Amino acid sequence: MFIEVNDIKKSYGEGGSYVQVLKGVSTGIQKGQICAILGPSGSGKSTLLNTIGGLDTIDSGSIKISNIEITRLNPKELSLYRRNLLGFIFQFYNLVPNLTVKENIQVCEYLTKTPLDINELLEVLGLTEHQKKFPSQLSGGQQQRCAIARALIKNPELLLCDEPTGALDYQASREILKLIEKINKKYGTTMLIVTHNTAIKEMVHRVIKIKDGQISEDYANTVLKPASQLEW
Amino acid sequence: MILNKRIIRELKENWVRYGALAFLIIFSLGLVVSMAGSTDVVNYTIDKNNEKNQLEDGEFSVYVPLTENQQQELEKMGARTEAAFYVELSGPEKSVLRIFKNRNSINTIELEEGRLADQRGEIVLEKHYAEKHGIRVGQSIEVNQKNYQVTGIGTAPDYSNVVQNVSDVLADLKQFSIGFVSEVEFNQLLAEDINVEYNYSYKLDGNLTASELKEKLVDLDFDKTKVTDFINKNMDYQYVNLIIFLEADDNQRITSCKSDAAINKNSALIAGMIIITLIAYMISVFVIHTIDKESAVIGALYSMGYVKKELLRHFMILPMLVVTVSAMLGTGLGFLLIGENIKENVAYYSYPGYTMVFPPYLLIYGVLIPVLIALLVNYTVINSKLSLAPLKLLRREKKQLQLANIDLKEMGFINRYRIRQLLREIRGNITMFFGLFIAILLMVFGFSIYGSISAYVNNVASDVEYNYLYLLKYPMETAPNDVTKAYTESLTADLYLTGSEMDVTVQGIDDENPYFDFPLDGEKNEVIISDSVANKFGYKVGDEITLSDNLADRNYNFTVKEVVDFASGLYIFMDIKDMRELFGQKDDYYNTLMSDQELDIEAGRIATVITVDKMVAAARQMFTMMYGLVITILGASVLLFAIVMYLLVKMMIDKSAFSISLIKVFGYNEREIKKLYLGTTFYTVALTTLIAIPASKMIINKIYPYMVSNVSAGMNATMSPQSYLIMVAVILSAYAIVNFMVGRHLKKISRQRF
Ligand SMILES: Nc1ncnc2c1ncn2[C@@H]1O[C@H](COP(=O)(O)OP(=O)(O)O)[C@@H](O)[C@H]1O
Ligand SMILES: [Mg+2]
Repeated sequence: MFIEVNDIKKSYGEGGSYVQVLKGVSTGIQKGQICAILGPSGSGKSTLLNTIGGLDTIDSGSIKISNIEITRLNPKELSLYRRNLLGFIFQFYNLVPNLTVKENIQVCEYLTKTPLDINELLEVLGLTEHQKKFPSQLSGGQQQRCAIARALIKNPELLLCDEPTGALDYQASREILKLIEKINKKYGTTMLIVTHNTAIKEMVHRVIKIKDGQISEDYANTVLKPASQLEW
Repeated sequence: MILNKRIIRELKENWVRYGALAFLIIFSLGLVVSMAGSTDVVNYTIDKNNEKNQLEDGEFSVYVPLTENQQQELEKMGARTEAAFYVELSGPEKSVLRIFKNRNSINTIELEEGRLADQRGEIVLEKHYAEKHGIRVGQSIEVNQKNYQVTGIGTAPDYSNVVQNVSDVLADLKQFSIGFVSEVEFNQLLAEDINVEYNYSYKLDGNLTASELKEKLVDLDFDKTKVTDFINKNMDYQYVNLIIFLEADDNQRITSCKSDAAINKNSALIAGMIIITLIAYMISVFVIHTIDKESAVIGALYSMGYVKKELLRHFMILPMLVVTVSAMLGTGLGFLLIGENIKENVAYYSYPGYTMVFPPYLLIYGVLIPVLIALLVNYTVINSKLSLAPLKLLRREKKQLQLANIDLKEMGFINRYRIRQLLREIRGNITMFFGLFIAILLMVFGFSIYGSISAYVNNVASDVEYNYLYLLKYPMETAPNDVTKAYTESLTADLYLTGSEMDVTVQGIDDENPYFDFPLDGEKNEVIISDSVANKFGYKVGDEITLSDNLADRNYNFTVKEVVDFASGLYIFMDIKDMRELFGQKDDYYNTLMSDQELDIEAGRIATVITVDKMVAAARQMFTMMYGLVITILGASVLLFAIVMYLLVKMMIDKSAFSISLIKVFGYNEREIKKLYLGTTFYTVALTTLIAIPASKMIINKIYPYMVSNVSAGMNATMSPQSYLIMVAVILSAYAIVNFMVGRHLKKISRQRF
């Protein structure tokens, strides 16, 4: 297993404001797979993703990524882990406003010694003609494509996406999903996608449903529906 | 690092902000460095000149000249002396020229042009005097109804401040100066039975101290028969031949040029650092603003594996760049302006042409220290900002201030909103408070200099009621009619400000004296002091004060009975009868005449004449001299005020851009929005003004005496009520202008969004 999550528990707050967000979550994901994490708002999806990404700590349990027990890493080692293994995509893109598309990608190119070819990546993501534009000159979909390119440039083994289509309209969302599919095929990147969009579950290898801090459903698709045929 | 590309764009986008800050740095460092630099140039020039021309270690004057043997005896003990006898002659336009013969080995003349006088009928003039009277080498000048050929123009190291009396507040370069003639010419003048001051300069070889020399001079025997019969009859000179003993360090003719400069320099250096710290902090506030704005982006970069060190380095570049470049420009500008800055000093003091020096410590002060301050401030602030966990940054979580949530139910909505906004932007508002405070401090300083000098000019004119005061070497057998007799002694008092001593004049007057209207009754040791003395030495009514007679090595204790208005000089008054008794003089002794008209007294008898008109004119001159400084300080303060306020208010509004547009959507119009967001600024400005004006006044009151510590008059940092009004008006108009400019910016914001 590339990702092994074992009985992780996570709570916030103390006393009256105490909430247990993850109440013993265990699962495993194979390398090269796309996994969708579905569930209602507030169920703990982002929390799970963040703990896997080493952005948040857990109270108990274990998280092994590529056989590294990341819960035992200190902040410095965590940075290194993220630097070497991870790419992140957020709902609101989080691009550097006063850098162009290409420069935004180069910001993360800096983090690795073995980046992908940037022009090829621009081409794959359909950004070649926009590469000199600033984020404010792009549509939401284009910005998200730039964010994806930025996350991919260092060829991460694991791409973590928190609501990547959350801020996009139907058409743009479909484009992003198609890209995710394409990238997975082309680069073999393992992906965890937190989403509201239940249609996604048909295009991914694995579906994990979370409800109230626990996994309510966890299954693999045998047949994948191409993103272009998804309806919602 | 590709990320650094955004720095250039950030600079371009916010060029007004960073340009204004850079301007402030360049401007203030330019001022400070040029001020300090010119001080150093003056000091360097003077030190060099003093060494080259063998400045005296001190001087003394006697009733009867020393004999050849006595001079040799002194030399053996370790004191080389050279006669610097002088006579005072009338020059053109009622001026007085103090004539010396050429000097051999102490206080030698530094010629700027021409040659020394070596024939009869030749003279060398002090340079400012020559210039003020439009006299050039080769021309002639009439001195004491006799024509002299001017062979040279120059300066002498013992007269860099060309004052007639060591206690004079100011030099009047046109009315009094010095000249040098050949020995034959001088001997001729002596033969003409002109009254001579038997003055000597001395240099110690290191084995003898000044006080040992003084003791020796006091003990020195002298030929009493050489003293004119008149003095013989009138004086009890059983004690000493010595009249004046003045060490170079206590001689303002020698020291005041350097010490004047030193005070200005130190205060400028300190002020410069305060302003640089403020600006460095302001820059960090702007960087924080950027970091807050881009907090999610930074969170994203952390998520991807960026480490704090990398981002810290990145965010430090801009402030460091701005500070480093402007500090270098400012220091460079300062060096360029040294020549400009030095002009006033050159025009007033008498020393040879200066050589430009660029002291290396100013490079450290002007570039290295600002860079270090910026490094420290920005590192601290930015580091703490970047230390937030990536998730918190991603969620745009800030350390919410508890204050922002205080209960304000009792207040109206507008006020509540404003106060919330104020607390939300507490960092910006506190920065603004300090910035405006410093600006107001500068303003108060400028107005105080102005107020202090104009008060001095006015008071000198109004307090002194006689028009002429003659200090006599010995009394007249029959005093002229219509004069008032008084008795004057010069003593010294300890000046706590500098740790050294300063001359004060004790004047004995009687009850009939028409020029003073305070009563003189009371105990024998009770004195009435002028407010000038009270200010200078910090004396109050009831204080016991000690004055010393350095020649006789005696101390006198007095009790302060009253403080009266008398701005000119440093005067202490007492009953003439008590004073005669105290100093062991006969019942009818006097040495001072006060008069409404000019008196006809033979020159030889007069030690000093004080003409009130001249004194007022000199005070006015000081006013003109300080005018440039006052204008610079006021201009700088207004600029600082407006720039600090504009930048910070604009930043705070940018920060609230989102809620501003939201409020717009709720249906608030632009006027109301302006009220909500700019009203906050008004609170800060009003509060700062209310605190800063009195606080600054207190600070300046404390500092000011040190700045004028070597002026022999007690000047207070006073501000007229008009000055306060002008200040408030300046502050309000700066506020109005900034408000207008930010208001336009506000309009743009509320139109942009949604
Ligand atoms: N930093 C935090 N402090 C307190 N509660 C939090 C924090 N982060 C998340 N939560 C709570 O944890 C629960 C799960 O949050 P999250 O994982 O973001 O849900 P989802 O992404 O599924 O919508 C929510 O109830 C949320 O309020
Ligand atoms: Mg979520």
